[in-house]
Amino acid sequence: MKLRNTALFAIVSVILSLFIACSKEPSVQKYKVSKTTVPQADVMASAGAGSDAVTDTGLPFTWVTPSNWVEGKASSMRFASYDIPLSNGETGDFSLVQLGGGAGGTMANINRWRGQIGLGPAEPEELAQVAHLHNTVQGQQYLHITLINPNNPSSAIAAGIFEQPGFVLFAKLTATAAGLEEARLDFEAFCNSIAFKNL
Amino acid sequence: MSDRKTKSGAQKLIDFLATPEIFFYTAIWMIVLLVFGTIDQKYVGLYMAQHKYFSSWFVWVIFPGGRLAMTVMFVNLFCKLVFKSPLRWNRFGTLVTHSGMLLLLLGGFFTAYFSKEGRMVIPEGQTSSYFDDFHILEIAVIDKSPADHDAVIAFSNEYIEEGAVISDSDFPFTITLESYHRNVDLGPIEGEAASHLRGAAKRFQLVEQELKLEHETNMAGMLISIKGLDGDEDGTYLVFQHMRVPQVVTAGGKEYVIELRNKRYQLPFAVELIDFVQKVYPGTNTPSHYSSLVNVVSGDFKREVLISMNEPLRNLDYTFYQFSFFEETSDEGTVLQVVQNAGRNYPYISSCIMALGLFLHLIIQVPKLIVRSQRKKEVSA
Repeated sequence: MKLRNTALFAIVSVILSLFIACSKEPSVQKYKVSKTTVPQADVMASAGAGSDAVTDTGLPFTWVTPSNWVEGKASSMRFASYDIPLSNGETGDFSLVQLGGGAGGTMANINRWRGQIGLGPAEPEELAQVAHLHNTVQGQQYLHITLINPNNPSSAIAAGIFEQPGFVLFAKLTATAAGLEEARLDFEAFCNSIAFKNL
Repeated sequence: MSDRKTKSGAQKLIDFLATPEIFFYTAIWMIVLLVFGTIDQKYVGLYMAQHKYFSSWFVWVIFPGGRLAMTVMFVNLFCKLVFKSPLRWNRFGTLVTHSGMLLLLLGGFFTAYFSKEGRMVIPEGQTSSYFDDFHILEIAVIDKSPADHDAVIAFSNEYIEEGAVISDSDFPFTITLESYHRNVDLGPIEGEAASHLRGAAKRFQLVEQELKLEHETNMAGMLISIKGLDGDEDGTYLVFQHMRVPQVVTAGGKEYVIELRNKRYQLPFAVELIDFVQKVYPGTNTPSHYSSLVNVVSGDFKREVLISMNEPLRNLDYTFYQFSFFEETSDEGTVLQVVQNAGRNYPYISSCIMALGLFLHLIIQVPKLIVRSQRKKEVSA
């Protein structure tokens, strides 16, 4: 009889102890990690965490908006407009604009943007230093341009130029030089995600 | 009758706990939960359905949830096995089967309370020694000032609730959670920002969103007020998951990063991605095969392993499955699902024990069945 009571007591005690021990209490964990070069937050987002779905507004192309971009004020010129949160409360300005025909030519547009950040016109051979060909996930090539005025880091421009039959699509990000670097991966991810429906 | 009168309270309780009907009705209730959980999964997502029906003590306020039902089953089986199953050879098969079932439920307990599951993201050529939980969050305060390491203080998920105050002797400021939402979007602030707002909160506000079915795609965000910072930095900050540029504050001349992030588990070894390979079906962009060639690094020792879709890497208690990948202009890398499950082997072992028990039961009962059938024949003859 005593054995049964003791065994019952033991069972109840063990079960209660297990549940008390396993109950979720707030805990603080302290540890050291060696300095890492992996931009984990960026990689996590590009790996799918927190990313947005494909945006299809009925235009002949779709895109994927990075999850931390905020829809900005649209205008008749802009198909899409986003404010990009940056450190210390700064905001990057992103626009997606489509122009007909050749849109005045690539060099003319690059020189116009250079003027906006206080740089003079560039020679065609200087283009190679600031422009590189990238591929979208669809396999389309586009021209990726980064313009920074070393004497005026408060304004810099990154742009993607997508030449299509009959029109040119411009993705443009304006921010400080530091902001441009912070938003670089997001901007590239946006440009790479642009998919043309007719392809 | 007299025997019943002499029973003590403990005996009566054991008799009740060992009642076979308890297991019978609990098993039926588990089937009910399974049906509702499966249907509701379509509407609330897999993670929430698991939590609501199977990992909870109660469901629909007063009805037993999966966790309570399985605890009842365990106690019932245990009492039946220990107190109400006499050690007789002809019951040996049943005893073994019950033991196997108990072991299965025990494995469920270990899985529920001690398993960890998350993702490890490694760009090609880089090494990682931690993984992030898929769902559980934490608030991390990281002292970046040491030259060779970051000092991390991680506050568990239970701290993440409105009104919680976070402080520690290792940093000279206090954080108070003003508001928290499990899924947010960012919206612009109209007009002039209030003077107490700092960082991203000067331009943006949190806009609460409905929870997405794929729970891991929800982006949590919070407004925190911080006191004790240098200069006029005291104020209200906005922090959300996967911030591309983490919130940095200065206190006592040191810079601290404040992150709201998925709970991070440190591994006792590191994994280095040598090469990630993705193959597609010919003429399409549809992937047909992924694999990650990795080095498992433990001290000076390196072991090269190929992880592919059905061939995980097992090291110590951890299993690494090929889960996903990422591609950027300059980077490519792998995403591995990491599972640490103390109850991983229990289902296999307990299934073998139960199969053995049922087999023994059959063997033991066969002579009895033969005798019974012969008697029937004799009677009918």
